[in-house]
Amino acid sequence: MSTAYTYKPWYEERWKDNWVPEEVAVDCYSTFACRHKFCREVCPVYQETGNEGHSSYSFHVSLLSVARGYSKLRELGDTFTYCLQCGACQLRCPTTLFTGDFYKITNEHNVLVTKTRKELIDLGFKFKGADGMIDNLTKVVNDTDAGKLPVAEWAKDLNLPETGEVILFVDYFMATQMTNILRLVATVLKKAGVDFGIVKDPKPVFTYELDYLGEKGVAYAKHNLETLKKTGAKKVIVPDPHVFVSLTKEYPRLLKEDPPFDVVYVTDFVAELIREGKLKPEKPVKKKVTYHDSCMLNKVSGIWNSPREILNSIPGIEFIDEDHVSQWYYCCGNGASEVRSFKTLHEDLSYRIGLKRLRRALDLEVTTLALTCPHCNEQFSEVKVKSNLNIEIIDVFELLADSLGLR
Amino acid sequence: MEKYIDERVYIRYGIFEVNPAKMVKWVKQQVMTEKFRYYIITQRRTYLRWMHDQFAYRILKPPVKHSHD
Repeated sequence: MSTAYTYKPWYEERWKDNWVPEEVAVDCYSTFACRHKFCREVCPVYQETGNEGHSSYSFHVSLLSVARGYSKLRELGDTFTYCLQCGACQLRCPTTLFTGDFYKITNEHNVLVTKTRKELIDLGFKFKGADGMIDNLTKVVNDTDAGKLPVAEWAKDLNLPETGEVILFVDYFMATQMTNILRLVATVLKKAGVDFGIVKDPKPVFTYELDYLGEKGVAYAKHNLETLKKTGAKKVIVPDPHVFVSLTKEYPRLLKEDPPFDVVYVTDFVAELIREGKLKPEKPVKKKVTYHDSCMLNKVSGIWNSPREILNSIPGIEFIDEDHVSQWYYCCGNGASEVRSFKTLHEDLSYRIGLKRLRRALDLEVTTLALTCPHCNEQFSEVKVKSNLNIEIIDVFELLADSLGLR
Repeated sequence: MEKYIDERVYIRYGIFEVNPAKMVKWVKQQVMTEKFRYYIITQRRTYLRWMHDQFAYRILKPPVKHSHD
């Protein structure tokens, strides 16, 4: 059994339309009994819709009502799509923060929502408007199985080996849609003299969709873990926060096995290189910058310092920081899903959440919003175009590469 | 390593903790890793420090439309 993740054995039981395990009901009671509702205040969806039904509190109460026979799971089905899985509620909730370590009982909202959605799908429930998302998911799976996804094209001319103690791991999303950032990451690592390899046939990671895919999801996870083991990696560097969460939390949960290597987020790794003097950003970059904390990094993984460290090390940048706890209240609006389930199902809401975040950045009178997540990058670039707001969206590695004279 | 306050509660790494063996009668215990436990502790301290920094030393001004100045 893995020691890498926190889990509740009763989450493995199958639910019915009118039945959830009593242990889940007990979990839900601890939220139902709470009158603080801090989870509601911090939720980016609730802040935008003002609908009590979209808060973490409500999800728990809904399940409790199923457990007590007041409603059926399928009647409440679509409510469970109103969650970005950003993790803010579980950080802010006293059930997690103020009893978690004391009683060793904690509610992980993301796990509960993932579980509920999976059970609904297994019960034959069809989420309203989910056809686009399912098409997207099916296309990625089919293309992967047919070997049509060009997942190693980005590194074709970089001559990177497939073995080594340090491995840079990316899945299809970054390898096909954020190639420019990925190549900058590789260039920066090379500049620092890091010997690293890559995995040339990664399977899609699908952070919170793994469960939906059933056996296929497990097979993908197994393939990625086995391939990484074969490379002889001691350290796996990940430049995508969603992939980071998969490797550190979802894979151990799904495969019940600890990975035999350290998983390090790329900004942590590069900040260390800067501290050691292996990278010296010297060329001034004249920009007034603030930083957006990705939910998967800041809220779910607790990584928020290293991107700021990198930004502060770049000469010429006027960095106006908004602290990471204030950013628990934000999200780009894309959600934790790699196939954009929230965005597909609630397009307007997703746009409004992203717009709010961009306006908040503009309130700081900056010209540039820096980030380290390819999914936030995609979402903000889209929101920026739609809203015509005058703000530059840029990855931390673009700024660093400019300062290192790499582009 | 643990300093027992009584048979149910002990202090470990400076943090109070209930002896899980004494809890099973009432609440099923989940598997919680040390790493996750520390994550919770760190986030709680961070949040409390943030609350203090935000609200202990300054009073937020009301929006202009509600101001009587």
